[in-house]
Amino acid sequence: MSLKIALLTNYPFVDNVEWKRAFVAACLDKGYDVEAHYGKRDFKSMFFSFLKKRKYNSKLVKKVNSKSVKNVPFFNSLGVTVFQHKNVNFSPAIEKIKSKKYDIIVTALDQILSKNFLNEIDSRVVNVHYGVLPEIKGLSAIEWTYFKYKKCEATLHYINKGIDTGSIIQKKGIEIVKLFSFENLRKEIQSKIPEMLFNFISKIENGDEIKEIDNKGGKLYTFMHPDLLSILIKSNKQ
Amino acid sequence: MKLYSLFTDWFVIRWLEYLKFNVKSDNYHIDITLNVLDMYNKNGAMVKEFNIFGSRSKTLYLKSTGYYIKNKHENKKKQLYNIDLEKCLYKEQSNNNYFNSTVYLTEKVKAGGTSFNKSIKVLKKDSEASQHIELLFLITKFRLELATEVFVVNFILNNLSKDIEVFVGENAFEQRKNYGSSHEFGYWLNYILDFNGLCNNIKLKNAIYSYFEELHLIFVKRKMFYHDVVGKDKSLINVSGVILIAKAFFRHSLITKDFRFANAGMFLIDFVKQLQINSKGFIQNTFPIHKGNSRYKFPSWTINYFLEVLILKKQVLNEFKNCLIN
Repeated sequence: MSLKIALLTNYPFVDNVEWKRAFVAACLDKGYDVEAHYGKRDFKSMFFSFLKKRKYNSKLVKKVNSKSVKNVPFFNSLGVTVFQHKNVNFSPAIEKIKSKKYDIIVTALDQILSKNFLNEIDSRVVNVHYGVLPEIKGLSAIEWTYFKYKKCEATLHYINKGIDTGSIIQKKGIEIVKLFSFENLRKEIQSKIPEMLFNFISKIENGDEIKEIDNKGGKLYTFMHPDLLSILIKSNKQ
Repeated sequence: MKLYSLFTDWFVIRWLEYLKFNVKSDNYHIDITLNVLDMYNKNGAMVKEFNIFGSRSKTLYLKSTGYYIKNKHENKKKQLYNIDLEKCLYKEQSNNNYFNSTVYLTEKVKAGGTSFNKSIKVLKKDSEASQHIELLFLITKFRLELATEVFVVNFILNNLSKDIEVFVGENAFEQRKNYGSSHEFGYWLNYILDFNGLCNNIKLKNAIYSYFEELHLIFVKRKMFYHDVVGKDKSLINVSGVILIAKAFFRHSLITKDFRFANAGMFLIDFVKQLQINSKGFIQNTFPIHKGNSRYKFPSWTINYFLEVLILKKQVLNEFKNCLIN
């Protein structure tokens, strides 16, 4: 029996992140049953999320190029069912996702999953964190990881009720070249995500043991202030 | 101009969560802050306030680095103060000396030979002092060897163990229970850091670290400290409290080299920078206000603290750079 996998993400009208397309296409190639669930489908939540990101870290706000490949039409063209919700934490979305009985839910969200969601959903819910765990939890993880450890690492972990506190499944170091940019590091991490996920999925499929690493401790970070960020960027250019 | 300011301040506070602050460089804000301070300086003291019609209050406040004390007999007592408080504010000193809020009281007692109890009457308005004023007295007593370290540590630990929301409400200048704000709370944070610099108590150090961790968590969740610090009513913002909490965050970062706190402090003062730009160098709404409008401009308290915070931020950025090199 093939595995049932769901991609849980936000902003159906603008989502154009490449790794999601690569992941879904590869899932289909491998014969998995994959579906996509989108939250924040309405313009209002999209607009206010945009403003918040713009306020705290303008680098995170990508220009939505009208000519770029959008993920929802791409998924539709592959025959992948796409569900759109007002918010993935709201009851209708939770009920829908619960009824599908997915084996694995891969998240790419800019929000915390509610306790209700995690209590109700009986699937393995995983996420890729763009920083070193357990040390650096929260936002701007690439920048804080570089500041603290001069390295770049992506971490696949389970999601639990805390922020990036679920046990660690896999770590992947990213090589840092001279004169890098944080945007490029982000892209580099994203290019490794499908590979990390398939390592994990194949273990589940084969019934292999998954060694979980404890994710206790560490500190919670938030958006890095532009003044600190500019020092980091300048230091890289020198 | 006032109407424009009323509108922009209201807009800034109403849309605080979403508005990208149009802040300028720290040096720009230091310059306009010093310009405003020059307008209000008066022989080592400061004019308390101007109202919207431009008339000055006759009240003068002596300036110190950490606390403002109403000076009823300024001319008579002026000769008692051997330290140049004006210079204290701008001169670079070690962390402890620079920020020690009790320097003023202690020097006053030492220079004048006045008894402790007599001198603190200037501060103590009510029979029941708030916790942060109580702590200020205790630290001064400790510096004058009138109180033991253990006694002060226990007093602080007892208060740190309280729920932050409850503590903020209780710790009020006025004898109105549950009327305390982030203004008094900001003082409290800076005083515990003052005392932490004076003694070397591991238990206190750990307790302070956990306390700041809890505060940082509040910042991560809300990205701002409102009037009641943890309350839900976003229409109430105490700007001086925001500045004092940012100051405490910067100081804590400099001590611990944990820049998460400084990062939070920088976001907090961006909000104040925005208000300052709207008010031609002043910072309006420095008392607990409702929906962002206050009749008075208070140069003496908030602007001084803001200047301290901007100077501290320079130190923090420098330290951040050093950590990156090393």
